[in-house]
Amino acid sequence: MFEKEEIIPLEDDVFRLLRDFIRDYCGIFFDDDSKYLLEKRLSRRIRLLHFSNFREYFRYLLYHKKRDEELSSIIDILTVNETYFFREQNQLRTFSEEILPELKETNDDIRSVRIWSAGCSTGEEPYTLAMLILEKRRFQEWKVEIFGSDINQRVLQVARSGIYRKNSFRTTEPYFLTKYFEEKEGGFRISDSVRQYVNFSHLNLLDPFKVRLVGKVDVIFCRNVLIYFDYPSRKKVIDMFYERLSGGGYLLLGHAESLINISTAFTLKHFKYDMVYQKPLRKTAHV
Amino acid sequence: MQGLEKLLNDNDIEIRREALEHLRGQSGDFAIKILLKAMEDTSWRVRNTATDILIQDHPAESFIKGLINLLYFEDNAGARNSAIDALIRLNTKVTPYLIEAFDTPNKDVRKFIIDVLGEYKDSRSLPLMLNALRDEDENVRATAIEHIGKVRESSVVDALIEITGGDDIWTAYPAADALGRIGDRKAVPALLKALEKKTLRSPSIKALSLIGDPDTLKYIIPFLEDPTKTIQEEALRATERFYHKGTSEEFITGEIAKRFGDRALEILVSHAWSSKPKVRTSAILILGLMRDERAFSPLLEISQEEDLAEDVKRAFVFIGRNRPESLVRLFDTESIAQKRFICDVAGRIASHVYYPVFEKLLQDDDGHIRSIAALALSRIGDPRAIEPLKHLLADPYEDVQEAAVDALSHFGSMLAVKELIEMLRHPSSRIRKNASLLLGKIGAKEAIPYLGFALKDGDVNVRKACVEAFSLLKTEDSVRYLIIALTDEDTSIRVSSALSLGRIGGEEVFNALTLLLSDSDDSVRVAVSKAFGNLKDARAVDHLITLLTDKNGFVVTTAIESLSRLGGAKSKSALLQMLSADDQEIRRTAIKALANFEAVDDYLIPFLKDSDWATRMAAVEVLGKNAKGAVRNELEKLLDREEDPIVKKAAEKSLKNTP
Repeated sequence: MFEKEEIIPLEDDVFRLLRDFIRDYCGIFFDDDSKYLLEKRLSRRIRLLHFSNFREYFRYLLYHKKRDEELSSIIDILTVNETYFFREQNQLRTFSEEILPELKETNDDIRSVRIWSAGCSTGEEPYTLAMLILEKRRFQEWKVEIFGSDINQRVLQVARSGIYRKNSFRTTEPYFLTKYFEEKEGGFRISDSVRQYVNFSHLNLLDPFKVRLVGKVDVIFCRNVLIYFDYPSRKKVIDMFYERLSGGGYLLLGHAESLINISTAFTLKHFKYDMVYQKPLRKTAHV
Repeated sequence: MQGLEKLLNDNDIEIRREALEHLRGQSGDFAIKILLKAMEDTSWRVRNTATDILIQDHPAESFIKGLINLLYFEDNAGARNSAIDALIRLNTKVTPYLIEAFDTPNKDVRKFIIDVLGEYKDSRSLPLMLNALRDEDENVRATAIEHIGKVRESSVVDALIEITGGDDIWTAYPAADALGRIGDRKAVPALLKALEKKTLRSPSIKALSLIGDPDTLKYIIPFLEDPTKTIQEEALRATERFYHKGTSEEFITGEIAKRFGDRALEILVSHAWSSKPKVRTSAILILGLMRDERAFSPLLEISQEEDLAEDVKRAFVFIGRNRPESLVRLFDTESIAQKRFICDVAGRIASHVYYPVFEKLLQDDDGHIRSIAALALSRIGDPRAIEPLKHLLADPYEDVQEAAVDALSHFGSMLAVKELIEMLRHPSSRIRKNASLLLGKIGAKEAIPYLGFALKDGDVNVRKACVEAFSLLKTEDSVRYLIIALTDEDTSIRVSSALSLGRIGGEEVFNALTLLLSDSDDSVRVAVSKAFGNLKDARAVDHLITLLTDKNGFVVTTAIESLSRLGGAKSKSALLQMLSADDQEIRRTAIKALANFEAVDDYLIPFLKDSDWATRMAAVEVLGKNAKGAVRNELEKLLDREEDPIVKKAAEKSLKNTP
């Protein structure tokens, strides 16, 4: 406020050490242009921890037993967690009007549908998906499981609380607001009918052991998450998604993201409103 | 000689380099031929040795053609670079040769020659430089402009003025550009004349603004509505340049108003939405200079763009300073973001007009606004704010409390210390905490005994605040209390007391800190290591050496740095042992720490071959401080094999800085 807060200088070599460390931890990659961003956004953090410079902060991340907590704060500080309900309408129409009916048919024998919202931030995306499924009455007797995961613990707390302010409803039709939310604590609380479908978990997409806990899923939404990753990490995550998807399952990325030069394992399926990546169907029963 | 040629083809760089040494002192074409051939070598050191021998032992005219010939080696950047370096070293004695060599169809070679001649600053090359302004190759032209711009000779300016007035647009354009870079007022009439030619308008506008004579502004302002958008934009950017070069805002806005009247706002607002960031910045700045309140609305729309927020704020402050009351109506907005923005602007202006507004905003629903309002009131400096500000000491949000403490501390002597001391017994822990901080910030030494009592508070945040207060007060009694705080059960309190004590120093501090050497918390041991480094007490060396075997790397690296600050033979010996630590960061830290000691080169040189780039970098940084003799040789060797750009750059810099 008024005067900009004093910025602690970040030397080139320490920036590189810090950047590589964060990348190895969670895949998020900061290019050279991000140096100022790190300087600007982490200076306050360094002062709060009583450190004099970035090198000490790097050592804190390297050696301290609470480093996972700190890394989580870094991700929180450095990434944009901006999201809202019913974001990217075309993709959601594809999901609701074409993918869900298809799943209704293919999974009719097991009457279950499992969806993963990877990098779900404050939870608007998984709750949106739950509302869309609720609108399809045909899934009433089904076992519906939606996993919202994020590496940032703070956003998950917001997601679990299920209370949202005006900003999250910029493209929400009044119909949904009336039907699935109640006014509470200066905001709107998502109804339990929606919450019942959604579970949240703290997950690092680069943690090969933890991601197995998700199990096999029919659809993965991972929108505007991979933009923060460097190429090798992106590849690792996409390979992991392939592994997690059932045969014929769908991967939905952000509208500006693609698998070009990352993976040829998926096929690109053209729907009426959007194009979606699909894991080729093997001639085996649903797993 | 056949043997020599064989040696020069050996795989070992050192053998090839030593073979060249045999040519020292040998005259004749054969030696020159071999040396020029060696300048094509893949090794930087071999090329460098060849260059040295050539320049030291042979007359320039005997190898200059061969040297120029190396500039044609498109697929051997090393040979080209070495040739350029050699030509620069030869200086003006080879100017005529280079002028002659410029007559070549190879555009790269022409560019290199301009670069080298530009380094000489030899007036004999000026006609060629001016000629290069119309070179068919853009790179050659740009390089010529760059070098001509550096020459501040009158004869150059005259020549450029003449070219600007000529009919050849291809040279007139860069000549106008160069006149701007040189910045000689003598060029003004020619540049004003050049404004009449549409093709020269853009560089002439820019050049005039770089010269920055206020009398020429009136000729530039009309171009803000030139039919060509790029000219409009150039005029706008030029207007901003005039301002930065010292032309008063009254003069600038007067000229704009004279020309456009009410239409000025419309013209500037349209540019504020340009797709070019720099044009937008200029438009926003000038809108601010115009001090036209009608700009508030369009500027508010832009204010939410992160990249431009600061520019818009400055524009608002400019307008608001002129008539602070004009901003008052803007506080009344539905948009939280805009309200915060206006508060921030008004807080910077800090006019008494805003006092009632800010006092009311201390109760706003939005925490950010309460914080900004608190700080704004402290800037306004009206003591009526003290009472309402005190209420914020109990605000639910930390940030707001922090702002309230900061704001109140600005009132310093106007605050009733007694009342603040009373607050230390308040039922609310927030009040107790913030009163402690405030007492520290205003330097209330009479409160020390009470703060000492507050150090027994059951709430950890209150105790933390007391420690912070003691570290600001810095009296003997404060030290006593900080020592007591070293035994607090809360880690962060022990950490901040240790760090504060390290900064304050004193006999009893040393003994107290030694008690924490075996603290169970890593952060505390880190703080003690750091504090010992600050104390600069030689008795700390043994303690720090003990910490070198600590299980936590952060403790070890901090101890290493503190030992480096303390110096002495014992520290050096301990640090040398740390060079063989398994942990990379510990090794890197030890390398850097040894920079403060003599005779460590032999221990550090092996790290120039370390597999970790950051370790090599550390070694280069330390050894490069005095890159002579064997160290220089090792750094040169490193350049031959180094692939990491950062390490390579550091090594090159070291070699360049040590003659």
